[in-house]
Amino acid sequence: MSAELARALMALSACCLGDRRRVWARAMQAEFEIATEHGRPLAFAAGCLVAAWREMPRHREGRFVLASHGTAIGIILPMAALMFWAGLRGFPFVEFQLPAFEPATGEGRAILLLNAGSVGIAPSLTLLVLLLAATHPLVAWLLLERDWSRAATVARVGAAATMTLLIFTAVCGIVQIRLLLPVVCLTVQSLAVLALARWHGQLSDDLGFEAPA
Amino acid sequence: MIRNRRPSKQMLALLEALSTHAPSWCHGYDLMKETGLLSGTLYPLLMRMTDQGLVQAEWRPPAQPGRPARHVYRLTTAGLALARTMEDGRGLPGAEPFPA
Repeated sequence: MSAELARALMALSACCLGDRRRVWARAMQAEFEIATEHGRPLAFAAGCLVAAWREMPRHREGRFVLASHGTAIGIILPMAALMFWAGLRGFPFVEFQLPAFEPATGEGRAILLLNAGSVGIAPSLTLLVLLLAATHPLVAWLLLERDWSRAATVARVGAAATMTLLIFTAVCGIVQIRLLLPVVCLTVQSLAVLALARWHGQLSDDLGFEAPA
Repeated sequence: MIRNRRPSKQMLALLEALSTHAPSWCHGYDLMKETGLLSGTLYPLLMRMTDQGLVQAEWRPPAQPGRPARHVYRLTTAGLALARTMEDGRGLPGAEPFPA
């Protein structure tokens, strides 16, 4: 078990070291065989991973990988979680009032913003918000895969879902300011993907590695 | 380019180990055992020192068929000069004179 884990750590170290340090990754791998013979594969592999992480901020490709993961994990996934949470709570057709507004009961209050004529559209709105939320993790994954064309396609699906949401809510007479949440999420995500795609393009040109289509 | 900052304790240990063996080549795992440095410290140091022109690295064919080729390291002339400077300033134990 520990041998497999050690090999996985070595593979991860090689990925983290990137193209620029490929020779060093091979050098570590060769010494790993010796460390395994001496019964210390896990400690050696863990050290190599630490070494690879320490190297990452020192070169452009490593900084790009850190920025990609930071964007995916620190920005896009929290936005997806927020959208899922909001969608399941009835966003954008349910308005919540915090407990502070209801001092008598100490509980929050949910107000349905749809009337009897438009309440039938509620499941479709929830479905749209959940679809929009589902596009974010997908974009995060494609961003880490550096698959920019598919990321752009998914972002376009997200933009279409946002536009549909805007139109539906406008027809239902829901205040449009509430739609700022998905619009901001989509804008931030699109700008981040665009910036990372351009950065990756420059890296590909400078380092001479092939960018995925 | 050699940095002007004083080398760290770990770098001094590595310089000492490499200078002791100079001009022979050393394997990474042997250096770990000799210096007591962990792989997470040794490899970043070796990479940096190679980038700075202090250490020279090359591949050696495997001792037995089916085994991977291994990387070996030794100090360059600049590395030896730095090791000697450190030896003079601090008195590295075990360091013997060697041709540059």
